[in-house]
Amino acid sequence: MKLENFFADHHKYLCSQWTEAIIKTYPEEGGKFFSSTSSQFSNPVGHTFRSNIERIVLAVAKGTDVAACTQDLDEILRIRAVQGFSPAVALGFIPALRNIVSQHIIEKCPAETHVALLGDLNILVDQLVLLGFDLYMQCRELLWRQKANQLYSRTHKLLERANLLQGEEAAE
Amino acid sequence: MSDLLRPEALFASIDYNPPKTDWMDVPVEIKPGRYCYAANPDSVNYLGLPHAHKWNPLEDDWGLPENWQEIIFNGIRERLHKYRSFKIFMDICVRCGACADKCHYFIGSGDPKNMPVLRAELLRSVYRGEFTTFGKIFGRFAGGRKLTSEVLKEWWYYFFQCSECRRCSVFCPYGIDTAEITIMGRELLNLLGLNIDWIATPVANCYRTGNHLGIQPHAFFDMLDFFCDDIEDITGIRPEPSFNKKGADILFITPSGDVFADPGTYTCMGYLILFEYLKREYGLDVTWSTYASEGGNFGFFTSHETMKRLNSKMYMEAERLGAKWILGGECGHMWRVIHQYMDTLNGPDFQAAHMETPVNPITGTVFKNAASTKMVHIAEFTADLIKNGKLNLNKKRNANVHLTWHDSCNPARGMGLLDEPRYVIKHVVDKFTEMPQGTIREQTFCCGGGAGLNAGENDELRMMGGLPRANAVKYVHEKYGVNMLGCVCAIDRAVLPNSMEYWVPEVDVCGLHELVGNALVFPGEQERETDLRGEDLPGEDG
Repeated sequence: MKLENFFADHHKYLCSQWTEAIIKTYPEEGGKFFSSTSSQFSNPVGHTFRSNIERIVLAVAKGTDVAACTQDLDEILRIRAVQGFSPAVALGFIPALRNIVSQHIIEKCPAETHVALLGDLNILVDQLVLLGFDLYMQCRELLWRQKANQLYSRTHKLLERANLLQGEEAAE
Repeated sequence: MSDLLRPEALFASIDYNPPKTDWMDVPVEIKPGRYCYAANPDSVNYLGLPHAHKWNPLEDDWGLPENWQEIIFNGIRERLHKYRSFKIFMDICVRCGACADKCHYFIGSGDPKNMPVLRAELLRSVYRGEFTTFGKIFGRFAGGRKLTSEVLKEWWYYFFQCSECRRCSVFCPYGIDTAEITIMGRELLNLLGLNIDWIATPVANCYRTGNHLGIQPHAFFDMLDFFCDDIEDITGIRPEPSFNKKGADILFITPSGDVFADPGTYTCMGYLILFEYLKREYGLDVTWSTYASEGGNFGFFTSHETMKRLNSKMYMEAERLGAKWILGGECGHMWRVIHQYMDTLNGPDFQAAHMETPVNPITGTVFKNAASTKMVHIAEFTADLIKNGKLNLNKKRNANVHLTWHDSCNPARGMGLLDEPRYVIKHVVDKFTEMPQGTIREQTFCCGGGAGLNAGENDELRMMGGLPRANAVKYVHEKYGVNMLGCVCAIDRAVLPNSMEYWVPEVDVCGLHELVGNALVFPGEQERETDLRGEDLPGEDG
């Protein structure tokens, strides 16, 4: 059995467990709300977690390259990157997939398939972690760039007001 | 080395999950990114507000006076007596939870203390524990608790994580306005000098120079002159606005953000173009004040008394100039102050001293809704001009815009300004798509930075709070190709560009009168090559 087949056969279970792993990082009341099935507009965080995780799991089940999961992972991490988590906690749900899937493999698959499946799982999770790390950093860098631009713009305006800029600098 | 845990053991020992405890037992943790810096004591002093002192929210000692509890108790007692709404809101909540999931900060963060009911409970629990017999006897069993320094810090942290947008109040079956509780909470904190600097310093600036940014009269004039240069370059027509003109019919006041910060500046250029058009075509006599040069009112985020002080300058200036009425620009909380507080703050006699019920001198429309306040929103004014066929508009000039409309919280929920902007939009833009129900009109989501929460240092709070709004924008962008988010609020125009850049980078932000300025055609005007942003205009066929 291939890892993608395992994901296809067990995608419902994997989706619910993986979503729960994210939700558990929030306080109880917040987690309850994110778990609720309210609409994508009244509960954008919960909706994004559920629907994007499902898409990622289905992408793996189809044997698609991990890079195809970029947008789905990005939308999850874009939320996690501004929720006051440390980087480890923000990204922690990705390696959590390893525990969820490996335990399920051990429960559901014959022992002789474990080594190959767990080996492939390690590669998959590592790829997702590295992709997630890049995406998380892009989010944080954008926030820092916005702060820097704000300061730059304020200083530029003051210098402009004081007629201390010349030529191209003034036109920027 | 042998003492070190192996990676898998270390990973297994880390519990990222928060503890399950009653909310009263969860200690406040002041996190960077969610709080604003403490008020500069010079600003607090300038306003003559109590207990100006230097302090740091991250330190244990906040430099409180010895009798701080007594000050708070007296403050609560005074306000319970003075404001019937406060007394009612302290007593009647049944904790049904209808408001719980309506706050954008809770929706974005999942922090239970951002549920409106729980935010209110922070103060209500102290009211019960310290002011009601039941609460005094039964304490926690009755939902009461004592006021400690930890509780005070919790107040400060969470009352400055509420943008007073009032979305929660729309869903409350009892009509509790949780923003009113935040307002009271902030007033009480101000009694101890515990304001944030992004509010205190703009208030001091406004009290001193007439606007939040502290722009002095000559600089205010220079900025508008600079816009007139740009307008002349783009349209070939140079507006000649009047300033501090005695005897002008109408005094125009807009938030200073429109004068100083992009993209509000383009909205400001739109006002200048509109007034110049109306002057040339119909002889409209509007003047700008370089002294009452702020429509916004950060006093509203400090205390009723401070709100009144800043608000009254507009009326004093109108009286000094002898204006008949005041036309107000695209601002948010300015309109909530005007519609919901001003009459009882100033009294109708003060407002009516030398002013008349506003009448549009071009169309003859009487703005009866403004009979008491003497102030008309520019969206109402422009909609009236369009309805009476007084403007020559060419929508093709906005053909590169596919607009969606963000109902700014305060004009939408605070004064019911819902259809006037849409009426104007219909005449200046061809491509317009509404965001989904539940995210617009009375149920609109806050931008995430209202009520003085647009400081650089609390950007994470703003991004979390801005998610529900951005999420709806993302939907119409992906499904219909929307590329512009319009609004009538200067704080929206300051907050939403960064929010859009983070959540929906393909969508830009504009004000209503930027679109009006683009579309308005002067008689004999040269053909425009760019819009007010200096970007190439689309061809006549879009």
